[in-house]
Amino acid sequence: MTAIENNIDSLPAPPLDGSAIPIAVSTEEYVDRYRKFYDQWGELLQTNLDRLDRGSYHLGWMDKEGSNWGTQVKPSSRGLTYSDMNRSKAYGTIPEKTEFRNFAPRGSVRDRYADQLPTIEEYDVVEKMHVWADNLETLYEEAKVRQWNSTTDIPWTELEPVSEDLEMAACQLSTFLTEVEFVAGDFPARWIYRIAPDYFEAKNFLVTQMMDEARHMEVFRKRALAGGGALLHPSPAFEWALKAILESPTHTQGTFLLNVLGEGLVLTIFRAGEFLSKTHVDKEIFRLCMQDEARHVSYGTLELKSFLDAAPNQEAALADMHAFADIGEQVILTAITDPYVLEPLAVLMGDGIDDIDDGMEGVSFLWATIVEEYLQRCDRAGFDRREKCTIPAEFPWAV
Amino acid sequence: MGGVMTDEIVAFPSIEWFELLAQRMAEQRDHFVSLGSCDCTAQVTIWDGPGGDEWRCQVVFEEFGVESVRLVSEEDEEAADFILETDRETWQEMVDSIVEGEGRPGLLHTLNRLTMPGTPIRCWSHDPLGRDAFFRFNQTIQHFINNSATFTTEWSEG
Repeated sequence: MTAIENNIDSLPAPPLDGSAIPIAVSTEEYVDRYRKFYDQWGELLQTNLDRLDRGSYHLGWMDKEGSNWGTQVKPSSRGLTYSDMNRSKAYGTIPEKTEFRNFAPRGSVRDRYADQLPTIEEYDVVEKMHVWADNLETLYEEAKVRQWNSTTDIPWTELEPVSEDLEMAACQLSTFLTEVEFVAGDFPARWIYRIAPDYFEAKNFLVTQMMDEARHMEVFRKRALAGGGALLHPSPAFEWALKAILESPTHTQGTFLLNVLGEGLVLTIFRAGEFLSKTHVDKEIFRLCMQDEARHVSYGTLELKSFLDAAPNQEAALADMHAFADIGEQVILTAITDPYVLEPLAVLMGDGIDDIDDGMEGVSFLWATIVEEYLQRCDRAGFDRREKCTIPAEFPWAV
Repeated sequence: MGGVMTDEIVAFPSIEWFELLAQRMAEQRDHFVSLGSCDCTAQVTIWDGPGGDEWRCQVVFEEFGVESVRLVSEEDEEAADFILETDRETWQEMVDSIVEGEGRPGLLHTLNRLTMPGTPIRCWSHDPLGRDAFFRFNQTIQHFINNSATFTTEWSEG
């Protein structure tokens, strides 16, 4: 068996919750399902129709009992942010676990309607520790104001011709990054609708991450074509790693894989891309992408910390995460051993195919940077991987 | 991007040099608003500062401007999200390149280019999240420094 197969065997089975999402698969099934709900739904509807027939008002919505009426949230110098709003106990108390698997907003008069509200089965992420990070509100505000537009913010007309080998390397790297960005956008998409609305701050931040990743996918697709080159080869090996990210059993584990490991790696590649750029166009692309990526990495780091701090059985949570990381680290290893990734980097580092050997020295530096920065972020999250890390500290390149 | 060249002459390294950049940032508020808010404390350490001693200052970015520029000592380092440390000559090369590019550094002289390999500028932090702030706000910090093209820098001897 390979190392990765051994690691998979040792991984605990994923939790049962969330393994089967009850979505209707046909119109017939959908109609049947809603007929079953109709008694409760129909009763509420009929009550309202009857009231209209009587020409009377309900006015129950004017009952302030149980509301937070009179709690005025005050804007700070930069406007009214979630941080400002959450300073009040009324609106800023984030439940450790929520019973509300419906759309009733946190802070509204909702307790009295608990037995009337529907249950959204898909809302199965109901614990704060699986989504929260202490920098979430700050990063959400930052994400909103630091958006950019790949159509107009990149000086595309300044793209200068370079030699064919350098352009091919830039195009191959762009192809790889386009693949990565699909998963980076689809992973939050897979979880956003499973997170209970009480954790709307997390849902909102993940929406900004999806927008960021959509923009990255867009800009790298454009870059591959804008220089007269082409989208080149997808990476079969790395696509298996991307699949592992997408199919992570819990949001915390997936966030660790995507944001700490994957995006940490991509952040370093973006920095390297800026370092290696032969044109101001490429510099601008990588610098702007780098900013977005660093937000995702920061969220991932503190989300992991939040999970480990809040886990009821910390020892078990740590053991579980270590078992998961044994697999997860294969994501980095797969990327930085993949010829479709490291060879274009080496060509750019060496300033051409003729000096690819020199470029491999630069790749070796990148390897060490990626591994060390990953370990530092794990340390910051309270997750010591230094003795357990499965990625070799040194680049395994025979000179 | 980039403001108009003035006849101001300011010595580097000095608090006044960074304060003038802060002033430019305030004058170009619309441009910096378009880049997005920036909230971090950046420390610049020059190994061969005035008198040959290490020179340190912290620039506190808040929202779309600079809240303060302050001279600090080694003990204050933990207040910085990240520290950019190098020698005067590296700053001179970087600023010369920005001036030559009329407010845009050459390919070899962007902040990320100079820090990525750990040399000639070392970007470090006591906290990896603080170092990540350098990446999160990189465009703003680059454009902040790019305004060094709007005045003349006097390179004092160490």
